[in-house]
Amino acid sequence: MLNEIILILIIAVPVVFSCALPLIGGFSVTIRNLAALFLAVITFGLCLSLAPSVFCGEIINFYYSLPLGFNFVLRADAFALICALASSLVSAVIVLYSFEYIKPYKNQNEYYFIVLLFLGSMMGIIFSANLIFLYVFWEMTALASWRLIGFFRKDDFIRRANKAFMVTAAGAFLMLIGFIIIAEQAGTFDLQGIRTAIAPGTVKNIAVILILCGIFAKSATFPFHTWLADAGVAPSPVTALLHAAVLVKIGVYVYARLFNGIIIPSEEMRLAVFLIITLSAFIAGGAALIDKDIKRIIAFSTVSQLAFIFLGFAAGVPLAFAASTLFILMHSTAKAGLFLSAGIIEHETHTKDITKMGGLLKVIPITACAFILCMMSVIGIPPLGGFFSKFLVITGTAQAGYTAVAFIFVIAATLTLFYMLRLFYKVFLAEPQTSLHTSKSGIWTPMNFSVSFLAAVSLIFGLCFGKLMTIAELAANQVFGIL
Amino acid sequence: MSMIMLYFILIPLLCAAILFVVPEKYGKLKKVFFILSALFNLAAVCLYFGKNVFVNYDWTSFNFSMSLFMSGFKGFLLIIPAFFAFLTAVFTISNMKDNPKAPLFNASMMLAIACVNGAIITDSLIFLLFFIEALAIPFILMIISSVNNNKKLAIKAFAITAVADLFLMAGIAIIYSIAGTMNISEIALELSAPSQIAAFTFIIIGAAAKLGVMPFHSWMPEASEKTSVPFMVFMATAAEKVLGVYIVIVALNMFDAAPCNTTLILMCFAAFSAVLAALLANSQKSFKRMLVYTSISQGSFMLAALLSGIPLAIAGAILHLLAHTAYKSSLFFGAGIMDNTKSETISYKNNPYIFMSFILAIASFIGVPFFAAFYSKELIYDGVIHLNVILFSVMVIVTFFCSSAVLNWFGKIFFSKDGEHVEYPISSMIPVVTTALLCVLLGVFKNIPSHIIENMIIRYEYQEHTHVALVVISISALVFVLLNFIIGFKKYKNGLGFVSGIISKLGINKLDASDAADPYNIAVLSYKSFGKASFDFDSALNWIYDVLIVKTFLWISFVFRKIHNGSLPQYVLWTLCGIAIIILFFV
Repeated sequence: MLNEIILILIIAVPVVFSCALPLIGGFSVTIRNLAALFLAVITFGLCLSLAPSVFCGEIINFYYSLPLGFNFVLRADAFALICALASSLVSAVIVLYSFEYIKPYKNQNEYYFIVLLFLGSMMGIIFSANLIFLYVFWEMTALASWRLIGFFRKDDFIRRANKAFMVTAAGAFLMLIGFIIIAEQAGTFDLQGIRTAIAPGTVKNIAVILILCGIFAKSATFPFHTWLADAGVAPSPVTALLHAAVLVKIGVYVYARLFNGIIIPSEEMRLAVFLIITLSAFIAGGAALIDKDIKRIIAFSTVSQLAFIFLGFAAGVPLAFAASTLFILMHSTAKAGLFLSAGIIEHETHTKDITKMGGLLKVIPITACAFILCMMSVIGIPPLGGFFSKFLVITGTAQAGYTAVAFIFVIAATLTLFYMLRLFYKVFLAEPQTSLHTSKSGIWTPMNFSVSFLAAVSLIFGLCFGKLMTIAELAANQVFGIL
Repeated sequence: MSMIMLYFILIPLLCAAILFVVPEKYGKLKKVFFILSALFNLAAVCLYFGKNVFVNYDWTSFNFSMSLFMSGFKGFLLIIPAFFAFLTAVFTISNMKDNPKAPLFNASMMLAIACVNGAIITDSLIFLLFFIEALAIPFILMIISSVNNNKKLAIKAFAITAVADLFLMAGIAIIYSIAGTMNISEIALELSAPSQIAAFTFIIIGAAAKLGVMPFHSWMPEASEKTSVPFMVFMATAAEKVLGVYIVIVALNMFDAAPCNTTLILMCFAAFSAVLAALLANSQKSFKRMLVYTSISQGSFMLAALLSGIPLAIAGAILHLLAHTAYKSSLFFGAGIMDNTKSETISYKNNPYIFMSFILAIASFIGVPFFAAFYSKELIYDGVIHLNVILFSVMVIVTFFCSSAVLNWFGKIFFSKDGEHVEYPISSMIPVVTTALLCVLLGVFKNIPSHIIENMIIRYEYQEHTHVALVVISISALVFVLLNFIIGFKKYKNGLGFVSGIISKLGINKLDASDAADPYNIAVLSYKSFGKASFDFDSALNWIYDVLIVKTFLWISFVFRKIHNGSLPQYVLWTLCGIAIIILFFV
């Protein structure tokens, strides 16, 4: 019973109490900031408190019956909890980073309110075991991200926020139609009911296509990915939250949840997914090689890396699934670190153009070190966590019999290597540009601490990969119905 | 016993951590600690040599474990980098004393030792890949730690190594998908199905990069000029070559790689690389660059010999690995001493120790009987001639061109009129003399290493040697190259003799001078072109979202606005049309 209450609180605490933040902000900025951090940390703590039970194999369910099949069903298994822990941890770090970053700007009350609301919505998506509630939380994140992307209120920024909202909302609408078709076929919106009602390979292809549109739109996958790079105009902590840790992972998470265990798509659909994610990996990776805007480069990198995560989930074997689950964890921490580092770099240099940077290794050494570690994790260099997860995604794909696809993704990994090295060289190693004015700020500021923490976490995850993989295997076995 | 295996990795790692962390005010103490660490590592691997131990540590799920396996062969391979790491450490005392980044180099070298030890003793493919990829970190740090500004070179070397490691990753992934295990000793595959051929090829590509085979070589010539000699000796000559050979042997043992079309094709690539690099060595304007090109050539030579799959050639390749490391290190250390000269020439009269050391090293290099490389090459020839006479001929030609290049430089360095006298401390001389003597010792006591190696090669069976004919061919080639050098040097003041004509006719010198022929640059340009195409495609997609869709909706909105003109009869008409459509739909 206690675990069920905790499960509800994980969603309720950030959603409900986020509304209080603007009120608190009216009295004291410091208390509001600390309250926001406290809410994010408490959400992470609540998730962590479920770990002993869930990671031992227990699945926590909460069921509240509502009319018309709109049952409020929550389910916490190992897969959900890993994703919840990753999202809430990175969100907490982002809130801490925001203390310093967001200080000079207006609308801070709204900022913290939306960030926490976003976190709560993400928790809702992760733990929802009913398609309608999943959709409701899905749209809540869309609204929150719309406000956050347009945070600076400039016309062009608002246009880009509108674009992100329109693309993801249009995708969500198609996904809703897909959900309705599935519910019509299965007679229920509950995931467990759908699992028993629809035999593997018998789901209607049109439903799968519609749901995939929603998923790919949210996860910025080709051809819906263009909003993500444009959303780089948002404040850096927001881009970290949206691009790295939370928003784009929603689509991947739902794909993994729905299309492994609940609905088994036909082989043709699987091949179509492979084709789309391959295009996504290559086009985004290629664009990252050319772009000059640091945030856009990292955003393109996200699109490319999401394809790797999709690959593991699409392969349909427990090894690839477990590897992709951990890829989410590794990518969230490393990419959040990169985005937050980009924020510091922009803060110091007042530009996002990497051709106007250079020589920052000596100017901001802590950020540079954190950037190196996070970059190595994204590239997949040991002992960082990204190495194991990328390798095992490729291995799992080959094990599933898609050897050619695995090899194509190895080639895509070379793109990651090249654009990351280019980025690092231009920003940190190249000759400093004469026009550049850098303002060396304090060493252990919240911003530096945040990026260093994320870099350290990336390293620790790599060193503890064996333990994490054991949990991921449990997650995979639960999803595939082996346990 | 089980923990001792882990210490081969953990102790160098700990030493590296100490060297990284301890502040620079304890500089002298750190230097001593560094040398002692390298010595301790050497002592440890020597003490453990010959033992057969298997240890399995539970690591994680999916039956992945961290198994370590020590055998006589692995012990032998471990000794090579350990020995040359120790000599390199001694050499750094004086060679890097004015380099402020020397502490970074020292710490990185200990880290590299941990990675090399780990890669060799692990029995798991995951950890083999782990240690080999992790080696990229000390690798890049060692390049950066020289006095020159090497950032671009470091990026280049890192990119090339990492790409090759990705191929290795692909190979390992496919092997796991076929064999269902990551434990090297449990894998026994054939080399027939396309996936098996792909896996084998990818692993050989990964190994080829370690051996410096073309096109993965292009960081090495630049590194020879811009990085320190200790880096070139330890990393480029000893560690990377040992790992390259080790990976090929692992691949040969996992796949029943009896000579077949796949191995033959790969051998042809290796042989081409060996010939081209040997030719390029003859067109170099710097001694160290020449040495590097001969390294590339000899790495390719070893790869071709290993891929023959013939136990005799494999044994020869392993012995050649040791012989090559010995003579090449001696020459590199000597080159390090000559760094102080302006013209890369020294007087042989005033520098007898260097001169004698060079004579010994070069004698081994060109394959003079009773020196190490003579026997290793004979074994290789002996094995390869059973497989393919053309390949054997190519190998003799490679030896000829490499010998020609090194003899030419020998003449230039010691017999030029402006030969300088160089001052050098004893710590620089010890490694030069030691490695030169090793060339002799390995030749004189050739039976010891070859006996060890032959006993370790799986499926080794004694084959009748066509020894006499081969020795005649080798010695004839040697005499020919010596005569060519002597005549060329005496008559035309050019030790290359007739080889210089071949080089200029083939345009080899132009190939090296042009950046456009650098495979790395070609790859970067290709990636840029692909990136540009992707970027343009993405921009076109953006235009669809930002312009086309928006304008379409605005136009539709405009049309709807126009037809909403407030006319009641028109609205009634639309309603009737709508009803008619619904009726039609349901009927």
